[in-house]
Amino acid sequence: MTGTVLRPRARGRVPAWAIRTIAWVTMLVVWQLVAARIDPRFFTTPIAMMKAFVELVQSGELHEALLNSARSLFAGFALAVLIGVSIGLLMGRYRLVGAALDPYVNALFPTPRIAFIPLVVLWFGLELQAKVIVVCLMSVFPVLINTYVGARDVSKSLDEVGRSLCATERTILLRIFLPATLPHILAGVRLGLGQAVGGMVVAEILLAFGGLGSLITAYARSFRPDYLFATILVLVLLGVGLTFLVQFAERRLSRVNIEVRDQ
Amino acid sequence: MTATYEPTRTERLVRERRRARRPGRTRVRWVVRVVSVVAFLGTWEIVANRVSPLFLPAPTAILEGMVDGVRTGELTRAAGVSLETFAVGFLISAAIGVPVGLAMGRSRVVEHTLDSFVYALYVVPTMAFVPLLVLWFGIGTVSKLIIVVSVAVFPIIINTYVGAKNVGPSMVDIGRSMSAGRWKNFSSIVVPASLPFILAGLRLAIGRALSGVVVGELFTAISGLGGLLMTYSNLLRTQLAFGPVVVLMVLGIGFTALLRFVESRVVAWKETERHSDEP
Repeated sequence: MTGTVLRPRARGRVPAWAIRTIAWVTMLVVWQLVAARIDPRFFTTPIAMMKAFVELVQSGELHEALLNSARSLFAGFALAVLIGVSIGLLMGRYRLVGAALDPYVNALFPTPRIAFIPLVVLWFGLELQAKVIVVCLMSVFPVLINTYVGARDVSKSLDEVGRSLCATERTILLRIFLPATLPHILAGVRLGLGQAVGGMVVAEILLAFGGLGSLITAYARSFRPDYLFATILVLVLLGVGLTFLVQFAERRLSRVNIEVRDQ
Repeated sequence: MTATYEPTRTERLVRERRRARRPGRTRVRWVVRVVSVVAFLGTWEIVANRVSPLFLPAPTAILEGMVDGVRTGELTRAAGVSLETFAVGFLISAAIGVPVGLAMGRSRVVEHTLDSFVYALYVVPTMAFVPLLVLWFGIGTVSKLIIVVSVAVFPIIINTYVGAKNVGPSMVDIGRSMSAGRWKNFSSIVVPASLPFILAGLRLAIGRALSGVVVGELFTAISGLGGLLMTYSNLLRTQLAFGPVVVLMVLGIGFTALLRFVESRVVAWKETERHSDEP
């Protein structure tokens, strides 16, 4: 009953998925028709892109580059989460730690951290570890700041409950503050992930680090936009896929959190 | 997608009240802050004097290099070029992002036509298109502007969209009952009501636009702060390479603070933010 009252205009309207499908189909058709008239050294059609994608997958070239990129992405991002969550928790739990470290966080956060890439190369060379550090540098701040804000806003009564039950400082941190901050941490992880992928690609494109970014540069230089678009397609799938994964975890865990709160 | 957590007004008031009651605490925190920064810079200075300046230049040496850069005009000229790219790119992003966001928020057809593209491109590292842009437009201003717009426009679109969509139907109905026309309703009710979101989007776009400028300049390695940085680090002039980084840091902090100030003035009544890169 309420449903019909609340949405009286919903009937007879074109559903959202239909509009979306029409938009995508139109986009692809226009792209195909326009691109077919352009020099294939500069632009490519969706069909040519898919052909190139299949070829790259079959030849194993893509597989290798993806593995190279993914290795540094996961290592760097895991490092960022580890550092971000632990420092963020400490900063949020202890006011003085927060005061001691927040000038650096506030100064580095709005800085375009991509500018540090040449310095990282100067210090660490062009090895895998440099790429890991670039990824970590790009993604650590969203994780850290979200954890910090979350931990700072943990209700004081939770802390008091812990203390009145004679919990050790370690237990309060890991059993009370960490779970209470989890939704914030995950939001930070999701935001950091985008930065991590972006930083990795920039580093690879700029500095011939290997991986997907280097493939992109190589294909641009050899005037193969079809292969180039196929590589970008992989990045798109990687970015969208990882974000969906984190969002899924967010939804799952926030449900758990609400249940815990309700009890 | 969920936004990061923002404390509610009450929570913030409670916290401020609590703080105000204990002014000593705030002072202690400021002392800790100052001590921390001084200790950090001091340690850096001492350590840097014992290692090769190629590897780690001392803060004083970096400052010296910056003063020289200002005196010869090299650093100021580069900063001017970067600022110009940033300003033009940012304005174009706002000029595209705000109308598109408003249209998406107010029209169902526009909304569902564009939303999947906008979200996909927001997640995708748009920097991956840089080599392609260079292929199409060369390494001039056009490429750089496209890079800046392609990263900065999405936070603006998404925030404006969320803001315009969340304008309560009751507000629009009031306008209608006062026999406001479609345009009047839009310009006097929808736009002002979305303003907090639009400004938050613009603030988030600042950092991304600056990153876009740097990426464009690092890639072309000819002009601007990014070009200077790339040149110096290729020449292993580490001491000088830090200069552009410091300038970029100051620009990022300054512009963000400026927009926060505008926000606090213009939309003091409301504080809302979606898809932030920060709390």
